[in-house]
Amino acid sequence: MIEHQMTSRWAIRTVTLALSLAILGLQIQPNLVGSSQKVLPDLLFILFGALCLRRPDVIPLAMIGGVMLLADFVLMRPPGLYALLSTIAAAWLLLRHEAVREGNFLFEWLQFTIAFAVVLFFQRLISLGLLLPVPPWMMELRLFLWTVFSYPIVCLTLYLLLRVRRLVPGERDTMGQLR
Amino acid sequence: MVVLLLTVVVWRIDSPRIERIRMQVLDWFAPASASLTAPLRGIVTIVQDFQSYESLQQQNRQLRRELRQMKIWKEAAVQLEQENARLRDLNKLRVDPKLIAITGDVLADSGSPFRQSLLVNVGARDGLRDGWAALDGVGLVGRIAGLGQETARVLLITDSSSQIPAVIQPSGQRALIVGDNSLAPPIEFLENPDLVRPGDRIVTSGDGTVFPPDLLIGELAQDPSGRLRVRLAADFQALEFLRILRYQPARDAPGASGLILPDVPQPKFTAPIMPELTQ
Repeated sequence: MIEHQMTSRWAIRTVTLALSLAILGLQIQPNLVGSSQKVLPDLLFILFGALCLRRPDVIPLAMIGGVMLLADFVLMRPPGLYALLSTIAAAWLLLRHEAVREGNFLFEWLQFTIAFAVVLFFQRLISLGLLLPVPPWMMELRLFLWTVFSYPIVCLTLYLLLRVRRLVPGERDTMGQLR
Repeated sequence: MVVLLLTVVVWRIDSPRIERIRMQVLDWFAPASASLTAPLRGIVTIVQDFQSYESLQQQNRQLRRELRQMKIWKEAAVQLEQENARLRDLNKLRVDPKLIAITGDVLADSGSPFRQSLLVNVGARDGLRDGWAALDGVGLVGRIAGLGQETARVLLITDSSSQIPAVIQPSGQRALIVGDNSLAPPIEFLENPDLVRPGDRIVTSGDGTVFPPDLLIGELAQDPSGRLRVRLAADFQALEFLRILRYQPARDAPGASGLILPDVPQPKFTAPIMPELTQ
């Protein structure tokens, strides 16, 4: 039986953690990527979203929450709010992976888009409720579009880097379970 | 998730404590990330250098033109400096020794345009305090908001939570510079817009005693929709070093006794002794 060799869970976990820390570190470097003037896609959310949809058995939610909380601290966001929302979104994406596995890529992309839109919407709603300053509509819209359109690129990178791809029905995962 | 929820709630209730934790996290994360991303930064710098080579000739011509203008200015400046020195000598004037600056290197920025702040590599260890002004050598950049042991956060004047009282010279009109996360913050609460013109100098007024007066902010400009904005003097696209002004504002003197005897408890006011009425 010819089977694609899948990257082991721990390799994916380690690389993901290193990648997310590198993204965070590069993002706050001054005068490097111009991140303080331009709206850039939220790469961390895409990374975790893609992994949740494609390899649901690998990334623990605690890791997503931990990295996102660190990001909240480092990026001067209200600590915990965005982390909480994105962890809930990741959990929802985990629940949806059965349906995603049977659909095509566009369906997967749509699920991701919905999850991110809900995160942004609730972040704005809760911020308004807690009397926190909210950014202008246009900036948030640009963030949304950038993030959604970067999703396929991140997926491609993940495939080239870690051989992470969509599981098709009937495939076995690393633990030998029939997917 | 419970932990995250708790963090939000605790932050909303006890913001200073969580902000202190944030500064500790940044104290550890910012230097570590700076050294870890150094190779990548090198690559990006090389690419940027190549890009700038392409525009070298054009830049050169522009620089020559500017240099010629600068020479004229330099002549004027030298004459003014000599005059100034003569007048100071006549006046026996001493420059305020309280205005000493600490220079810091920019370690990190906020990483998104939604929040405009920077991290510098000087902190509580170097005697910094919250609220001190940060300049880039030319103009005002922001103020210290958040202190770590070895790093401090500078809230930029472009941030939407920054509002700075300013004076527009030469008319002397007072106004507020209200950040809106753009590179040219708008001017609000201007009493008489007819008295100011684009190109006027804008300096801090010193009201509110957070900033010392007469720090250069920028010059007045009008955007296409006719709104008055500030063209900032500091180069916000390329902040590398910041000067942080050591400035303690004059203490308020609420009452005469408070001024003379700061630490002695005030005598309680006692009513004059009245003759008893029942007699």
